[in-house]
Formats: sequence, structure tokens, C-alpha cells
Amino acid sequence: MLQFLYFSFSEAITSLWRTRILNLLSLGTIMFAMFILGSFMFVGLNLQNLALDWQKQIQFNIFLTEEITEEERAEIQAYLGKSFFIDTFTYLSKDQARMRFDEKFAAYDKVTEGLEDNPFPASFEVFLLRGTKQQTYTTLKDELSTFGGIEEVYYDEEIFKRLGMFAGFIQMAGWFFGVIVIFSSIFTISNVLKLTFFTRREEVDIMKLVGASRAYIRGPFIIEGVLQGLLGASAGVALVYAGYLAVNHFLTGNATFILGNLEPEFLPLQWVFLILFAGAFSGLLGSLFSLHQFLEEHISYH
Amino acid sequence: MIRFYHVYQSYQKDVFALSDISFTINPGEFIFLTGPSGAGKTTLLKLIIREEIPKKGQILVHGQNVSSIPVNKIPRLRRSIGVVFQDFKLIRNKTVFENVTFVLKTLGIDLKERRRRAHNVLKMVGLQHKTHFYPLELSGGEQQRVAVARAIVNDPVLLVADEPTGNLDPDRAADIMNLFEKINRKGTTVLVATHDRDMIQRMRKRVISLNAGRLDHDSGSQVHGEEN
Repeated sequence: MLQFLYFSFSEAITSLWRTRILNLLSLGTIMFAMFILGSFMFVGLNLQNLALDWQKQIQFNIFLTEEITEEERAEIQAYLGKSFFIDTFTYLSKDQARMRFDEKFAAYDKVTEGLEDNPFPASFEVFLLRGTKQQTYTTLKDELSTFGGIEEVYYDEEIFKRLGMFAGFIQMAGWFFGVIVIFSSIFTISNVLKLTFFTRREEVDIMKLVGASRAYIRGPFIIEGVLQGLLGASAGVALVYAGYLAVNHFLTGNATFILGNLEPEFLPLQWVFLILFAGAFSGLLGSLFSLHQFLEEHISYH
Repeated sequence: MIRFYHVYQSYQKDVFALSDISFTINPGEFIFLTGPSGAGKTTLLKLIIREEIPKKGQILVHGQNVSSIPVNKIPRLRRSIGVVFQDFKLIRNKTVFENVTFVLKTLGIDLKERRRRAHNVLKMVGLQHKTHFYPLELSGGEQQRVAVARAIVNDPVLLVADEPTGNLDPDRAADIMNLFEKINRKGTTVLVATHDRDMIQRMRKRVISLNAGRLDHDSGSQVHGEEN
């Protein structure tokens, strides 16, 4: 087996080098395909990061009832203090709430002027840790509903849901286009290998005549396809990385109003391996298709 | 070594490329297979290396019936037979060394041993100084000698050559024939298809002659007790 692999690899590498101009075509296609796939993954990942970052800014409000007792308030406060998911929280009394409204909406001071009672409820303003999942919000909300003295737990679910959905959509689109470009890669590799074979059909016939077995004829072609896929995918990932460096450079100091202190993140290592695997796999399929469609009749000893 | 029993081959219905061919070739023999163009020489050689399957009859090579040999055994059969073609059939993008040692590589023989064997056979054909040349950088005679080196590098018990001197001038053709004789003296059975009558007369070897697909004459038939 080792000798077969050694033979196939050495023949495939030699062939790749000797027909490098032709191979550039399939390498370029795979590179482009994997660049598209990687770019979508990169954008999707960073949008999701952005969504998670924004979630930290979303105010999680617990509005308290008029009748809340000191004990009930202390229980809620203790619960919030113990939760792992809460970054910070502050208590806002009824008076503080009214004052804040007056400060923020000074133009509408007449609205509150005539009021004898203070209609603004006391509340806790809660900020969750970055990266906290939506399920955690729901759990927290459910748990808080069991406490006495709470009128309503409110957070802006919609904006965060929409951002999350958008990030998910981008990633889905990435996979969708990814699959399309992977199929186009398979098609291209298959055709390029057929062209490669056309230039080498005489060689294959000679190999057969001097006694090379089927496996020894097919092996180098298959390895050649896999190597083409792997090299193309590596080049694609390298392009995505170049894009990441460019985006990082451009955004530094230019987009703080959107990103805050958030920096773009490159694809995690396991995603990079996934792209490389996708490249190698499409190379494998491409070579198998071309072998199946065209080479079989030449390799067959019948 | 090789036995043909009433072998027929045809490519069209009722038109036979070979018709009722029977003969025996014993180990260590040197045989010329001759006849005019279209007589069936190449077809007969193709049947021996199982490039074709006969329509009727049996062919034994090294005791194996090549008509019914399983497909996965064909490479092994071919590796036991050295074949030299008229058009050399060298792989153009491989060097002399790579062409000669290709089969050894598929057998997993290490580089050191491949080099040793290639050196020996290339020395035998007088091309040990051209191992890194590509076929197209060589003359026709040199290319044919590379093809001979490739055919004998795996120590075949049988060497089959199809018009090996057809593209060569008389001097180069004589060189190749001398080489075949040298190989034959080492014990390898040699079967050469040629229509070069002068060469055949000069070499004084057993001659099997074909005409229009039939066995016309076998100079060794009485010696070998085979019916024609």
C-alpha cells in the first residue's frame, strides 16, 4: 500500500508539474470557488460576532410593580448578582426613572408636568455578557417570572432576532453558493483531467502494454485530482486571509461607530480544514468522474 | 513456452486475420515470425500479450491459457514478457531512465535497485550515458535500444519484438539483432516479427512464416513435432 501511494504521489506530482499550464485552469477555478465559500463564511462569522456584540448593548429591563416589597426587590437583586450570564445591572427607582425621562425628553416636559403621581415604574437595567445565546434570555425571563413584584421583563428581542437571522442567512447563502461552486469545481477538475488524459492517453496505453496494473494507472490520476483540489483550496483560503487583512486594515479607526472595539475575526482553524477538505474532496470526485466517463475504456484490459 | 492450438482471429464476420494457427515455441529458442504486410504477424503477437482475445482456439504462454486469463492477471503476464514495438512506444515526457524503470517502479523496487538494473541494461544497449535524455532527444536507433532495454529490464523469460528494425537503417538494424542474440544467449526466448528477408537469412534461426492469416511454413516444425 505504501509503495502504491508513493508511486501514485510521485507520478501525480511529476504530472502536475509537467502539465502546469493546463493545471492552472483547474487550480484557478477551485481557488475561486473556495474563495467564494470562505468569504461567505468569513462575512457570516463576523456578522454573527457583531450581532453577539450588539446583544451586549441591548438593555434588558425588569419593570417592578408598585406594590413590590423590599424583600422581593432584594431577592431579585440577589438573583441577578449570582447569574453567570449577567455582565452588569443597575437599579432605577421610580424617581430616577422620571428624572431620566425628563432629561432625555426635555421637549416633552409638559407631558409629565401635570401628573400628580409618578407613572414611571422602578426597574433593573441588565446587560448580558457578550456571546450569550438567545435561549439564555428566554430562560432568564422564565425564571424571573417566578419572582414576586415583577410587572414585566422586557428586552428588544426583535432587533437581536433579526440580526441573528441575517447572520444566519449570510452563512446559509455561503453554504448555498459554496455547494454550487464546489460542483463547478468538480466539473472543471473532471474536464481538465480529461484534457490531461488526452495528452497522456498514449502514455496510458504504453503503461498497459508494459504491464502496469489498473490501480497503478488510475492511482496517479486520482491523487492528481486530490492535489489539485487541495492546492486550489489552499490558495482560496490564502485569498480569504488576504481579504481579512485588507478589511482589518481598512476598518481600523474607520468604523468604530458600528464595530466599537470589535475586530474582524479570521475563520477558525476547523473551518479552514473544512474548506481544504472540500477542495480535496471535489478534486477526488472530479478525477473519479473523469476516470469513470472517459478513462475506463482506455484502462480496461478487455 | 508458447503454444498455439488451432487459433482463429477475425475482426469482421468470415474475414480471418489468422486462421487455424498451431505451433509450439520452446524455452530458449530464437524465432523469426515473417510474412508480407497484412499476413497477421502483429495480430499473432497481440494475442500472445493478450492485447486481443482469439475468436477460436487456445494459446498457452508460460503454461497459462491467455484466452481465458482473468483480467487482473494480465498485467503480471505482460510483465513477464518483454515487448519491443516498431514505433518504440516510449513515454515522451519521461526520461530514458524513467521509461526503462517504469515497470520496476510499479513493482515497488527501490530507487537504488532500479538504478542498478537500469545501468546494466542501458550499458548492454550502449546508452548508459543517456539516462537523463528524453526520447525525442535521441535518434531512432537509440530510441529502439531504449525500448529493448525497457523490455529486458525485468528479466523476462520471453522477449517479443514487432518489426523492431522497421524504422532503422541496416547498420542500426544489425545492432538491434546482435542485441537480441546476446539476450537470447542468456536464456531468454526471443520472438521477432519482421519481413526483412536478408536479416532472416543472415541469422539462420527458426522461421515461422504467415501468409494471409495462415501458417505458410515453419522451419522448425519437424524438430518440434508440430503439425501445421
